[in-house]
Amino acid sequence: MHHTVVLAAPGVNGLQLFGAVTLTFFAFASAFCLIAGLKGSDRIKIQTRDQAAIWGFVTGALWVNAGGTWADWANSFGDVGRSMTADTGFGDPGLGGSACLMLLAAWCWPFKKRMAFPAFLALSGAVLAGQAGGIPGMAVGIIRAIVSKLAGG
Amino acid sequence: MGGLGVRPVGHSDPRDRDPDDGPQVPAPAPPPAQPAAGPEPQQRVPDWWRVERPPLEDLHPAPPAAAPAPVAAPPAQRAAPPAPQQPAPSGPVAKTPQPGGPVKKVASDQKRTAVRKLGEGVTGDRRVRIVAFNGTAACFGWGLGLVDLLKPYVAAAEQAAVGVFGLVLAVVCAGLAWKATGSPVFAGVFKGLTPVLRPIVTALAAEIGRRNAPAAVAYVNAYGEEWGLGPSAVSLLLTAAGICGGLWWCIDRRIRHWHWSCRWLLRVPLASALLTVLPYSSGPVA
Repeated sequence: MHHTVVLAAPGVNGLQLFGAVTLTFFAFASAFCLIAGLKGSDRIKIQTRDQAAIWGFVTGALWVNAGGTWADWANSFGDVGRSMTADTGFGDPGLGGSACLMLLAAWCWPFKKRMAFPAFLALSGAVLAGQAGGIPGMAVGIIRAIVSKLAGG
Repeated sequence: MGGLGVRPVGHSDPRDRDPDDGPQVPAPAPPPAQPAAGPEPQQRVPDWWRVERPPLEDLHPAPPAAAPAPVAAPPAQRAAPPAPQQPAPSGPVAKTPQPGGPVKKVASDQKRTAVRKLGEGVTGDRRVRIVAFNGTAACFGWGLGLVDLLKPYVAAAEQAAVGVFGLVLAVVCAGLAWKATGSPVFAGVFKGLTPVLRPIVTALAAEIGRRNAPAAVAYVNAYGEEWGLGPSAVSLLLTAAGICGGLWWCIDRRIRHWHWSCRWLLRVPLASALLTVLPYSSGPVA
């Protein structure tokens, strides 16, 4: 009996040390931080294009991971990126090709002050990479695995 | 009411006014006499919106007989920043220099136009140059068919994780054994037998590594799968790194000092390998 009580102790569920931290919390927190950083918050500092792209990539991975409405939003961003790369008239590069093109565009975005665009491109690229798999999908898979562990999954 | 209305007393129709008759309303008293040399007309409203603080002589002009000399000198300086809403002053004030200095003439081929700024930004950006260099090389390789040549290997590598692991382990173990048997310690122990023993030990090490591939796959399956790095993913990663790293080590590393056109031509295999490996889709991430 005592053994059963010890096993059912609350707060020790995987790596979930701070109570019920869910995937939705991570999705919301990443979205809030991304928007606040892009709007010029002094606490959440997104000051370069690379930082904006990394935030966008992680946010895309977390949105898909949360599922539900968050995943719907993320997939909508992914559809935008897919249409931008697949419907250009130069041929369909495939899902992985679209993901690589979006991430490449985020990597060499030419305008220093326009940081929302690399964030959007990387977000879309992360969603497409998660759909395509392959080498870009591995980064998305690792982010999802880490966050799922943190959320006690 | 038009022209039929009755005008108030003292406001006649301006068309009927005789120019010699003078104003109906009594005119205000004429302003005090100007200093003789002042080029700027006297203003009743103080121009306090100017950057420079107006001197008191403008607001309270002294009688011309008292002190005409000090007022005559500074007006040219005071008129330097003209107020935007004022009527253009006439006379010598119009010739005062602009605040920003004289406008310089710039040759037309040196003007900073928007298109030139964009062009400088694109060609001066290192990442754009990298993408352009490798992208054109990859397109050339795709046209040659190198991408289609490499694609089956990448697809097979993902399916045959044990074989890839075996190959990698065999190469690694053989390399380590070759290094170890080349050491002076090994030569000191086996002396004359070293040239014979060295290939044998290397081959044995490679075989041991190859036979341990299933154990490595099982280890990755047990501990890497939950972090998104299962055997197929690691196998794909190893194959991609092997192809691209091997091409870079064999070709691109040795020609860094060559002319860029030769480097571009010899970059075609590596760029094609990257074009094969990076967009490869293996299905959605779980």
